[in-house]
Amino acid sequence: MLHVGMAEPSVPADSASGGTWHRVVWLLVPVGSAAALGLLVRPHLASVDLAMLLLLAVVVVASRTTPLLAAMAALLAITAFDILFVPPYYTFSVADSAYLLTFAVMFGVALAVGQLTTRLRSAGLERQRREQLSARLLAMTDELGRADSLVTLASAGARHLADATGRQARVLLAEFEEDLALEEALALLAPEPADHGVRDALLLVHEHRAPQATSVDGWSVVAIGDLSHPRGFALIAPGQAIDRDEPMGESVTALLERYAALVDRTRWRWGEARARLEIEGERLRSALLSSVSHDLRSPLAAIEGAASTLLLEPGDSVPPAVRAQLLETIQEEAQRMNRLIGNLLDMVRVQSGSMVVHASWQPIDEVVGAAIRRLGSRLERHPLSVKLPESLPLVHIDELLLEQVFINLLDNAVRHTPPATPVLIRGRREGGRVEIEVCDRGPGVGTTDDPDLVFTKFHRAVSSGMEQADGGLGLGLTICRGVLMAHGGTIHTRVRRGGGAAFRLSIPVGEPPHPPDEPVESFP
Amino acid sequence: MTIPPPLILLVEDELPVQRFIHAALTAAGYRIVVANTLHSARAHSGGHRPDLILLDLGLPDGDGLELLTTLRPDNRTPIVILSARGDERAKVFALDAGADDYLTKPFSVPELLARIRVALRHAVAPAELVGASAYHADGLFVDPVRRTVSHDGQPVHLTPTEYRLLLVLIRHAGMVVTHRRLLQEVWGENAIDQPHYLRVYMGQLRHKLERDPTQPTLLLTESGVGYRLREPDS
Repeated sequence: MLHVGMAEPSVPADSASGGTWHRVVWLLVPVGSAAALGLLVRPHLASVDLAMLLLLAVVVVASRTTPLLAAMAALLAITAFDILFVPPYYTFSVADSAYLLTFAVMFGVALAVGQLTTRLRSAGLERQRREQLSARLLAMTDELGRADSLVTLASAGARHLADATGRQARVLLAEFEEDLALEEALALLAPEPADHGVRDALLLVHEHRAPQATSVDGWSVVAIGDLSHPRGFALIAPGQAIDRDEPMGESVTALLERYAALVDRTRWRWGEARARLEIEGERLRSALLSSVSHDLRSPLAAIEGAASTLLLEPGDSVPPAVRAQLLETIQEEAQRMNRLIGNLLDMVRVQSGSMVVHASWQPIDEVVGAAIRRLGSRLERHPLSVKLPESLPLVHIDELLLEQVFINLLDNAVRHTPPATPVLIRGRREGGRVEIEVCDRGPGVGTTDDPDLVFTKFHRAVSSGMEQADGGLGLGLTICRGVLMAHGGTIHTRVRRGGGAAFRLSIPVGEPPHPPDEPVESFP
Repeated sequence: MTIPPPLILLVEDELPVQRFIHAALTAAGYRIVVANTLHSARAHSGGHRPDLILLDLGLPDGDGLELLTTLRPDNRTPIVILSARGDERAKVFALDAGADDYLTKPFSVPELLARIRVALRHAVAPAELVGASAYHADGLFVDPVRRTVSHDGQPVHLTPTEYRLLLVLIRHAGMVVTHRRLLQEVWGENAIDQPHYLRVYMGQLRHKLERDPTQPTLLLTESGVGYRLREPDS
């Protein structure tokens, strides 16, 4: 798949102070006003002073326009001086030939000032252009550095190149691992017969295996990626006449090369990210397989063992108490497997990003209550206290997913804490969020520096030896995080003062709908 | 002449499940007949006239919901559906289509027996009658004739809407009532897309009627499906 970007500059190239009318105005107004002023004060001032007035006008014109105009203004000023201020007035003749020197000096001054100011101005403009170019380069690097698709790289790139140079830009980028043939590039970048400049530039680069080139009529091109297998091209159109003699030519090439480097770097970055993702996926799959193998086989082994014992030794060789125990084992282990499989399925959904959230507005305490009920007798051995203020606002949640989160957290608390230790669930509103904590008095979440590590897949608590066998696949907490994230919330863990772990969920409140009005009606 | 024990039609294709349900129900004193396809289920329900149907939604020869829709509305035999976890939408759909209650696989036998018991009881006593008799369970006492509600001896004041909601639940005491049905019966057809009404009022009821609103024993939440009021104490 090839991506083409073409852009015209949004800001047209520096236009000269062109326009014939413009020139005429600049020519006539300063000199004209000086002459008019001079006429007014002629009786009171010597001609040398009047000459100064006109000189001033000429300097003004020279400082603001081209040397040519300055010279023309000087001529005009001299003429005006001659006619208006040199006796005999209103004639071309000159009474005193010393005035000829005056004319010459005036002309010379006009030319000199004109040259000076032009040079100054163009240096100033040049500096300004360079600054602008730097700024645009920075903006380009910034925006393209954040691009996440080739489409963006191509279109945004063309736009930046056009704006930075004030000329049309064309970009062509090929997908990863795709070979770009010259004919394709030509077809896409130079579709019209009028695009022969582009064709020439592309052919040049291709023939000479040069990284960059400038065609005869001024198209600059750079090849992106490896020369033998280019991954794209970037071109900038020839500039306006005024730009012909600028050092910009180098800047254009530098710009193109910068762009090409950016594209390359971005590609590498994406490639790396993809590779990392694949490796991570692989790692996960193999971890999952070995986990499934171990964690599901354990309860199966217990069930198999208990059942075969009961079958093998019928009648009185197994005392009733033991029989009952074996049967209980079968039931408990089956329930455990059910939980594990549930977690596994949830994990797959979180992993694949296909977790669909069916959210509706509800009170959080209802979900907590449902989760507690689902745990049933497993919570028997732990005194449970629930402190959720009635004033907590409604939250927009998927009750099935959140119920699973609380089940996982409570399950964790039960499995990793000694019997008879209390479990606490409390909640509060904190600004725009509702925060719920599930706390226990167990050994905490281990001694790792980053307690949030426990949310990574398959991490298992460094067990205190208690209930070690109860693997649980280590998925429960990762699922919790996935669910919270899908709700725009977060989950964190911390060690409690006095020992134990606290898992804090944070859910955004949003704007709950208004509770219904009590309809005015009689008791049914 | 003794009344024969209720006959239950089990529509289930998996042999191990058939076996344990058969054993459990027989031990509890019920008669049971098994159909392992929808096709035979239709035949049995016509021929045997069961008192209750246990219907697994995941049958090989078709969606269990088909049987449901063919039976209802003419046939008022109570139907309890069996469905896998994670399939809440199918359960809700089935309940709204006329099923009376549901069980999530894997389920325990006490749960199964409880559901069957409640469904049979409601089949025998029409809802209106049930709704007119007093309800009491775990400290809650509701007299619909005198319109009084008390909890642990103390009178409780309910708003008209809260009371109406409670009555709907009492009419189906022990059985699940879907969100949709509750919204319809208490607030009317238009309220179906305002599920938060129901949530808010159920929360209010919990706070007024439960000893610990965060661990309710009377007003039970069936996540993703609806609510269930605890069976009355017999």
